[in-house]
Amino acid sequence: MPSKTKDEYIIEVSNLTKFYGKTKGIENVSFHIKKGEIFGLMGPNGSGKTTTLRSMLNLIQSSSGETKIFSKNLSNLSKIEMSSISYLPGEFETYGNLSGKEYLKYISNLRNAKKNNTNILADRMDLDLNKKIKTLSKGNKQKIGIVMAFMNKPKIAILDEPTSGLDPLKQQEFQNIAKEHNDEGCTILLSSHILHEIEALCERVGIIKDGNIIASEQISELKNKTIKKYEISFEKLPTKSQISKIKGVSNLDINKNIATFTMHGNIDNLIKAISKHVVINLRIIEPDLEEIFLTYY
Amino acid sequence: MFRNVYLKNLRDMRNNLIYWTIGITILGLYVSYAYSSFAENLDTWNELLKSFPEELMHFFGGSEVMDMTTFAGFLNLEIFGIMGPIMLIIVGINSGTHIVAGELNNKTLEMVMSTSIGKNKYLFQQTLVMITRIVIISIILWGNFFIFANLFNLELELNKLTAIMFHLGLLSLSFGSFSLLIGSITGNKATTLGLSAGIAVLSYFINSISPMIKSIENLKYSSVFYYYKHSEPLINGINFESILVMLFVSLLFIILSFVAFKYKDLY
Repeated sequence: MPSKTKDEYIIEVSNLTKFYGKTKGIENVSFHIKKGEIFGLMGPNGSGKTTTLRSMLNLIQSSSGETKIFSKNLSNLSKIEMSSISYLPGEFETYGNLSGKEYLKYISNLRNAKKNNTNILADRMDLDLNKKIKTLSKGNKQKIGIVMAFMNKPKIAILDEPTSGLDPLKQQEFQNIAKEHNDEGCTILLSSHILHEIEALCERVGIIKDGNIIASEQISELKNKTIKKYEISFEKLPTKSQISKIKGVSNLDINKNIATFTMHGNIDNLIKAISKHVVINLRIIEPDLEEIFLTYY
Repeated sequence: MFRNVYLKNLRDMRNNLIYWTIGITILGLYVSYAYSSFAENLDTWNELLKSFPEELMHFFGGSEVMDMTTFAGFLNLEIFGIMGPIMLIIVGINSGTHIVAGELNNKTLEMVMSTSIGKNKYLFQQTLVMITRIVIISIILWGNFFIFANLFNLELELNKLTAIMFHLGLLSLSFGSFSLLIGSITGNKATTLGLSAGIAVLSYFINSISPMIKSIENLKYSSVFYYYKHSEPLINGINFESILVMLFVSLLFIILSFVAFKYKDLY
């Protein structure tokens, strides 16, 4: 298992900008991904996630900025390096006249891939590879996409809304597959608006809004920076004004001897203030990623 | 058959080629049988044709060398005047449109281009697919008339038939490569099909009408139909100048397609 603490960037996106005529797609998007990391790109529909991924892979011409993968511009990557990158588009469409098996074989050949674990992945996703793709449901077509993303044991997997259309069981199986491949050294860039999926898989996230990255941090750091909810039970409740004047406290609610409020930033002031009283219980409620995400929107 | 883009697309055209073969065979059989039935009244036919205004004959693909007393002359008017060009232009435009605009319309190109294949290799292999399709259908058409001419004991020179097929194939390639270029620029299937068909019709009209009007006579040189048919290859054999012009036009469109595709956003 490769070291994830090693500061080696496998993907470097710098000031990536794309304008469609006068309309902004993305502007000055920058983020770096370490080898062996799972990085989440979060944002609602239309925020610029897909444009970022397409620009990174030269599927669309960026107006400015650059992407380096394996420390090289994409056009300078060797065939072997290119073959070790897998991409699952957000609008994943296949050739309906082919069977799943034929399509995956075709893509595998185009990648010049040496490794192939198609059948194992298909079994795990409960996917019948012999059926013509045009006869499959949206969910089953998406399963082909998931198998395709990991079938050649990529070093880098760039996945755009990979679980779109999948039932919860298969979403969980996707997470298992992604984690296993990550454990074997695969770096994953996961673009999604499904926040619990990002929270379950990613160590770091970039939040994208209106084509700009507005935050890029460890999920834990992001949580630290955001407002937390506090619930303190006192033996004898202080006056409302004593609590409300503590720096950073807001949304104060008092019920019997329990004070509930939100607070962000340093809690030193809070500790000093409540130490003058007898505290029976102190509960800090961590926000989930969804609450953090909403604070940016 | 899934080793590369060329083989995969060759496989995809199997059914289409079977339908073309059936259609062309029925056409070849029908035309050859019809001519052998007319054979007794050919002089009457010739006189009837000569009574038509020259402009009208030009418009329907005929020419001053038209002679219905031979099977070659009959084919020259009935098949290689309008029907053959329409068939092969449809083949060319369909093939050229599919390469970029068709695949973008189906949203299948993004995945293919995310592999290590590269834009140039993709376009090169797909252009080969287009050429292969045109060649195969031209050979089917050629083979049909050769076989049925022998079957019905009709006189048809093999080298002249080959010459017109060569001209027809290049006419098809010219429009196919034009569609490829428009598809590579616009990425839009409907626009590509519409524009290509429109240019084909315009080109046909320019070649049919401009020679009859002195002031715009030279416009005919701008029509690829002129290079296809003016030398009457089924009567006079291959015309290398025309072949070169059609080859040059096709090659130019293909090269420009590579340039356009390089900068094309694939979504």
